[in-house]
Amino acid sequence: MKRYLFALSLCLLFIVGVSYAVASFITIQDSFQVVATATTTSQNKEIQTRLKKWGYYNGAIDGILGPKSISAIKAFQKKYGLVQDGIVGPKTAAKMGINLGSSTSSTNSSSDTYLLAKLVYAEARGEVYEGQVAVAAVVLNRVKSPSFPNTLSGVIYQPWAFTAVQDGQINLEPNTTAMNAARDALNGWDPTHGCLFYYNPAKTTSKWIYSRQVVTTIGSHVFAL
Amino acid sequence: MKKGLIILVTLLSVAVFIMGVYIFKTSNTLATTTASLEGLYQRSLYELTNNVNNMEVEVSKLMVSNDSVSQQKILSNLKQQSSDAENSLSLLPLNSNVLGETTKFMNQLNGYCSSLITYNNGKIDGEDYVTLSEVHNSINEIKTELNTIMNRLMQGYRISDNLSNGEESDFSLNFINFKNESINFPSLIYDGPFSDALNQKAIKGLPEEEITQEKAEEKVSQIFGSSITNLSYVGESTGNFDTYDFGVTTADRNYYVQITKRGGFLLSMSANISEDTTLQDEGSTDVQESEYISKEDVNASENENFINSAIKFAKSLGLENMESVWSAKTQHVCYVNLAPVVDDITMYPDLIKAKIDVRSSKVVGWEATSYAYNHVQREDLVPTLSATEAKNLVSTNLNIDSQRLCVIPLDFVGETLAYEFAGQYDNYQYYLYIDAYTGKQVRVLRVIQTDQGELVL
Repeated sequence: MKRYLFALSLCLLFIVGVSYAVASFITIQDSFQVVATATTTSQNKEIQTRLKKWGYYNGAIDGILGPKSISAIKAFQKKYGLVQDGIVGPKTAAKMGINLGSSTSSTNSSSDTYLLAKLVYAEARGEVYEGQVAVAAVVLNRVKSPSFPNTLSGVIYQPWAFTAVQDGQINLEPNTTAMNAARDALNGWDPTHGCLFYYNPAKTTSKWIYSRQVVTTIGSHVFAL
Repeated sequence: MKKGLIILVTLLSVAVFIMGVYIFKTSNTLATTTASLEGLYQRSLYELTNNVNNMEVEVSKLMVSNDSVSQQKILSNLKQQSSDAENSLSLLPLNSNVLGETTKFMNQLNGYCSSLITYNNGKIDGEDYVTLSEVHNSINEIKTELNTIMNRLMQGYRISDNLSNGEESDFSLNFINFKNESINFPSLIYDGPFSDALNQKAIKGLPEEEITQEKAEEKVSQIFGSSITNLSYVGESTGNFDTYDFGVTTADRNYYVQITKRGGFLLSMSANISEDTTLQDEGSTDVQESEYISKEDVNASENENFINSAIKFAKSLGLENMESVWSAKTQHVCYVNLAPVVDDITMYPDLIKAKIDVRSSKVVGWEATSYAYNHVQREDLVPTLSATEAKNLVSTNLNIDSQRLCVIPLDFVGETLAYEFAGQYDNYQYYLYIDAYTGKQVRVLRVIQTDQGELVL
């Protein structure tokens, strides 16, 4: 009986161990996604393919730069005397023979438009077009507002400002609709007439957001001042 | 049975050992990540405290300085410190509900310093001293709060250990006094960025009387004519403008249309273009900076068709005398900026932005907020300076190609009559604006040619 208990407790320990490892693995991967990923999914896949070919990496080619990929990048950087930050910047990319500009080649595409489009895609890809323009307009209204940071990246990456930044969805590649919405908003379109907040009443858990003055509802988002 | 149990136990032990090693490794990585985040947060808090301490000293120095040169120097320091403080605030893991007012104070103080430097040459007069002493009080209150938090930090408080409840985390409780009005922030009114005055912008371009929802619906029907397959009322929007909002479906796309209650004016209309294509880079077309470019649109001949449809559309809305002041074509759309031209004077404050589908030359986007805010019959537009006098004020480096009279918006509030000089220097094209009353150079813009049109900076 004692032995069975022993075996049972071992099993339990095993399960606890596995779930703990999985949980911490996910946490680490999440935190790295926001901090470290400056490259697109397709570029990440290219990076992983090359690192695998050269023997630095043995994980899956999934386009997500998790801890394994990052330590592989660091090992590669160490070998070639680069700064070991685990981030594929221009220098590391050049050593790998990867052109980071490949997806935005030929024209001088504005990085602001792209960043804004990423946020729109991550936050509102299921919304109607004007709902996507409205989300982009809220970001730009925040840049102009004294109560928020004064740059586009400052507003987008402000802690707790957008759930899509916290859960890493910001790093998804935007589609044409999100790009068009971002461009229209940068050109002055603002269906919200100056709103600074939006929320999905079905999903939000924040209480204070309901105290804001509601301006309009577009799709599933309520826009407020 | 016994044997089987031994094997099982051995296997499980091995598994547990492997897991143990793995857990040790991953928790190590997690610890490193947490430590670096903690470092980032603490650094921001330390820098914020430093900035606020410095700001307190600078403001108190201003109170006892009487010389405009040294005042200007102190104001520049204060401006820099408030800008840095704003930056540090934005890096703390707190949301705008907690820090909004403090961020606003830092931004406005920055703008207030700028306006004192620009318009008063750093000279501070009686009323400014009153404002500055209020500012001094607020900074002292912030300083006290921050000192309490810094003391906790020095006693071993860890920010990253206290973030578990998201935006309502234990860490945010430290900042409770930043949002519950225990700190008094003065109202700063000045001609500059982030001023409270900018929020009270009057709508000058729309008549006072309001129309009904039915009238607005008629207006939408008129605009789209027989091409409408479905017209639905979506709701009202308030905010800077009160509008009736409609969804319009035509054979090829969906539009979102906003008609102002005041006067039934088409404020905004937009539709998505090229939904069916995959992501293709269309180059940068940041036309938001393009408001003051010459009336002689450089791309006019290439974009003639699109410009004509924009002007025709404006006429159909009853907007006469509109001319293209800028246009840029991307793969699927052409953006055209229109401004009214009255007695050969281009009215840049009344800009309307149109978006035209390249394939059909149809207007699919319309944005007339600036027009609604600013359009009035401007009286007495008679320059004090003659064109020649103004020309003499232009830098001799600029080879002037053309000149004209226009009304341009001033940086933050108001507008003025100005001479626009277009010219070349060192292979770059410039636009220079000389105030037609005072002779001051009110703005200079440089044109940057890109593959997809031109930008001005």
